[in-house]
Amino acid sequence: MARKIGVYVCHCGSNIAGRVDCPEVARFAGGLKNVAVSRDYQFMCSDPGQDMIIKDIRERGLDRVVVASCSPRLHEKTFQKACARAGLNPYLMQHCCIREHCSWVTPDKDEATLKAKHIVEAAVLRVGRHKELHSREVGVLPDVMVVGAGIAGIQAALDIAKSGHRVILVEKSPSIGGHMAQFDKTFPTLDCAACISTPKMVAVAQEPNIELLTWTEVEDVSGFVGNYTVTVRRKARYVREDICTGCGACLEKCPTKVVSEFEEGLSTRRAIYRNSPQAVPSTPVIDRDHCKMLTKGKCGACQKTCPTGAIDFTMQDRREVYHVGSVVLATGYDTMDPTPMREYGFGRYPEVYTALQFERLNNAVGPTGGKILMKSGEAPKSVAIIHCVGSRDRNYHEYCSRTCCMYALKYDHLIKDKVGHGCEVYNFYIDMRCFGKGYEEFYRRVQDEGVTFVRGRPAEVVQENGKLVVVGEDTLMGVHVRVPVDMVVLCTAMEARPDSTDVARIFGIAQGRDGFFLEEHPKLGPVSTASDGIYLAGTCQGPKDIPDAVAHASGGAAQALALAARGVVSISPTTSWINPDICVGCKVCIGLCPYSAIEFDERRHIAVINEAMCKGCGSCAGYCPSGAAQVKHFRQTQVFSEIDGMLDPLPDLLAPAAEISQTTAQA
Amino acid sequence: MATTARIQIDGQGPVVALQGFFRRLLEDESLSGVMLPVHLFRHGMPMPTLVTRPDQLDRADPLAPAFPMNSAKLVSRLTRGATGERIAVVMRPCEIRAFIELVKLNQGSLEEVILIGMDCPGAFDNAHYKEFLGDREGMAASVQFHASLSNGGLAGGFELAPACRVCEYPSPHGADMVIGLHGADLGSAIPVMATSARGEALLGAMGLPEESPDDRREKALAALTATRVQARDAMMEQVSARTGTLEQLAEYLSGCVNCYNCRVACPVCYCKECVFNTDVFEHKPWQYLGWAKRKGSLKLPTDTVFYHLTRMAHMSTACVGCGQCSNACPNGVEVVELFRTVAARTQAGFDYLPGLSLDQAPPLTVFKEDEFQDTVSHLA
Repeated sequence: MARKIGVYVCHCGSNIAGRVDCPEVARFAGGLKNVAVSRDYQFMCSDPGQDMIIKDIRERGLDRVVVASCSPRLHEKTFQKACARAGLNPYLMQHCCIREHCSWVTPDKDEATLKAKHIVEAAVLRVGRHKELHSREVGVLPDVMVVGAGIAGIQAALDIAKSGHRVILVEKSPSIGGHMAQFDKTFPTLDCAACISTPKMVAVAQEPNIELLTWTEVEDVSGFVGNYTVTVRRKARYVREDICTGCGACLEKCPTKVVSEFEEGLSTRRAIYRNSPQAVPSTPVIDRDHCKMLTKGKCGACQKTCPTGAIDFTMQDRREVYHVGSVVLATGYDTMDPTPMREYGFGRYPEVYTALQFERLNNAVGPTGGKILMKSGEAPKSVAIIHCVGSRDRNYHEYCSRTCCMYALKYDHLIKDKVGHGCEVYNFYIDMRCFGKGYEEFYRRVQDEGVTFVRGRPAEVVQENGKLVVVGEDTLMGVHVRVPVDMVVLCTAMEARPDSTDVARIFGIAQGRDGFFLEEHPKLGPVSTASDGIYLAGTCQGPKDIPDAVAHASGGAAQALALAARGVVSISPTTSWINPDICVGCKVCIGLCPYSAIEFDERRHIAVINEAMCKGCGSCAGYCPSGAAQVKHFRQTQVFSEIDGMLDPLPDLLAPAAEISQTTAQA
Repeated sequence: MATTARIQIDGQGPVVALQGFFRRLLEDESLSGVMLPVHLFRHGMPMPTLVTRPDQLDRADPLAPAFPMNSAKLVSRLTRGATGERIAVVMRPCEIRAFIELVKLNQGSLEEVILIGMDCPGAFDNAHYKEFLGDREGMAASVQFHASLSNGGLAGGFELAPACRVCEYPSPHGADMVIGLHGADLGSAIPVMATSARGEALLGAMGLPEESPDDRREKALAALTATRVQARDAMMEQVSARTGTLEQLAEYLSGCVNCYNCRVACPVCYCKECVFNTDVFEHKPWQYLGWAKRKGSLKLPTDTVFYHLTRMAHMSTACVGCGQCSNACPNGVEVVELFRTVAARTQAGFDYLPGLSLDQAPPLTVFKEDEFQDTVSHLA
């Protein structure tokens, strides 16, 4: 097959040319079979560089192009577009990398030049096997689903709704607000969490473009970018939202008391409950595991009390299906349970609290009405706050939870403020990380309030003579310390939700090593994921404070809106294809496909790819022994040709390498 | 499932007794046919034959020490798609194991087939079976084969096929019924065991006399398996030593001419079209010349070692060691020895026993997050 291939070797300033003899590589490429023209140039990605390629395609009738420069991640699209402008199908271009794979990692100039020649030869052999491919455009459904209605989900939903697009906001709890609804004050400004979040929660309830589904969980997601079908399970609430006025009469009549999750176990709620009087929606929910009517068929006190007849014990879970163009995941975080860290005594000593419990102690509608009180009902005379519990700890989470230093400072201030300046406050910290806007200033302020900071992670908390004693080392002073206090607050790590793996599977996204959902790029793609049209918002991606979670959420909303506003999305043609003449119907690829993109045609007894859902990952092609399943643009002939070029010993190549490649080629 | 019946052997010998058994089985209304080896010609090769009329069983011979092909592929063809009727198939243990592998790959179904497993003492490869047969009548030769095995071994310098000499699975797994030849006195009776509910129903309906249990079969089987395992380990050690390097492997396979007979004969090589028949290996003339120039000479045909390596990668985890690859090789390449040696490693690597249980999914079809931790621990 006679081809007319153009080869373009980029200097990338001195990035490549500093190690690789680019003119020599171009000269070598010019001698390869089917190469019609080869050039080297300072910056191929510049306009003159691209014009050079375009001119050659037009004037010399090139039918294939090889660009040897940086990573395809950087500029493959650039050169594909240049080819397209010249009328050449963009998939007839092969972009090979002689920078990251060669000049940057090969100190010896001769070796780097030889390596570059190999890489270019591989690309030349491969490109000869390329076939024209065409992307397809599909419509994007205008609606967006936001999963999780904490502060991030609320922000994302409001941003999207403001544009006029409809949002389906799904929340698994009975009401929205997430962890922020549990907080009292927020650092560093000390405005009350309810004061700033309630208006947003109300705005969600009143926004006509937001369909709020509380007490609802996502069960299944199918489809692809722009066209997702989401099945949700609306858990039976046993209280009809359309009739309930939220008067709360039922809450008082219910005889069953259950430990309250919202109050972090510090008090009880009823079997029919809502998290707080400001809850949105204000409709209560009946806990079917504890309600006497639902478990034993006896009681019905709430039903008798309800003035509007909103209680309905016959309600069933039901499934609803939504069709959306994209999904913003804002499923939030959990705080680590410190019970397994026995050294800190949580669960054994009643006056050891988690940070979230301490938030509730401070909250005006919390178990103590906002007073910082011990279980005895008295105010503590001294409090120790232990930072980094489960964070920055190889045994639990290596990462920093990013919020603890700051909320610990907030607690310092609140204790001094509420209990009085006589109350001694000790912070046991590793490093103080006060990096945000106004944070360092707040740290100063709290230091000036007479709070004690001890650098060093405590070894243990013990109980002696009715006091808790924090045992540790002040690493700045180099002395062991034993600090007797009345109350200990553990700044427990933020961690990924226990069901993250299931959620990741449902939405086809990945988790990082820390368990949080993995973004597409740590710096340049912090809200996108590996699945197009699935975006992240807030702490489900990693620990964040409120400002960061809100900013992140707006970013996720912007991505979803960009997709919805354009209305169409281009689907890459580099998907798998199963040759129906070769497929033997073993069905293995169906089980291996992580995107559920393969179906079985029972009539023809073969597997068939749904190209709209296929991401071209190659799991099917990697298994398929006959090669019936192959990914377009990565076909076996293409990859084998590339390997062949890679193994071709150049005349002046180092001897040992040549022997190895000969043996393999002989085989 | 403890039903054990006896096939009484009268003066006409075990082959005729077994014919009688299958004739009786075929009378069961639930069965439309039975597939088993039949001497279609006096001196020819007994071939798997699907018999539907009892009178056609006159030359059936499940005792023949011939193994011209692994019938798993045939049973796959007979069961890929429902007929609405049920058949019985008589198979050697390695044939059943290969068929189970094919069922896992959706290449066959157990729905409409009753597997009748024969205890297998081993068989000859094609060339030696013909030699062994000589001028004798097929069925008579089969009887003599079994008689000499129970009298201390094969005479006349005959040896079982290389695969059979090292086979540690001489009794069937996963069958519905097992015909127990090991330890049986072929002058008096052969026990038949029902080993599934379906097998029990069928066997029970045949009204055969019950066999009183004894441990003769277990003892014979244990002794045979021990010998085989020993032979297998010695064989593998020897093959490993001969194939330690790529160069040694190339020498081991030097007779290969890419006829692909081993692939065609392999029961678990299940592709409709092999990748080696596709354009991937359709090299251009200038490529051959280029490769030759690279090092001054080029062995032809090319890709012979690569072919075997690819086949090992594709199916060594499913290899049941039936030896049909070696049987089919025109140039005496010791294919089965190599494959069994490699398969022992790959199968152990995945903790996989091919063909023994339908519930064990082929290794590369499942993803286990926690496997090979020692291999990937540096990534964690």
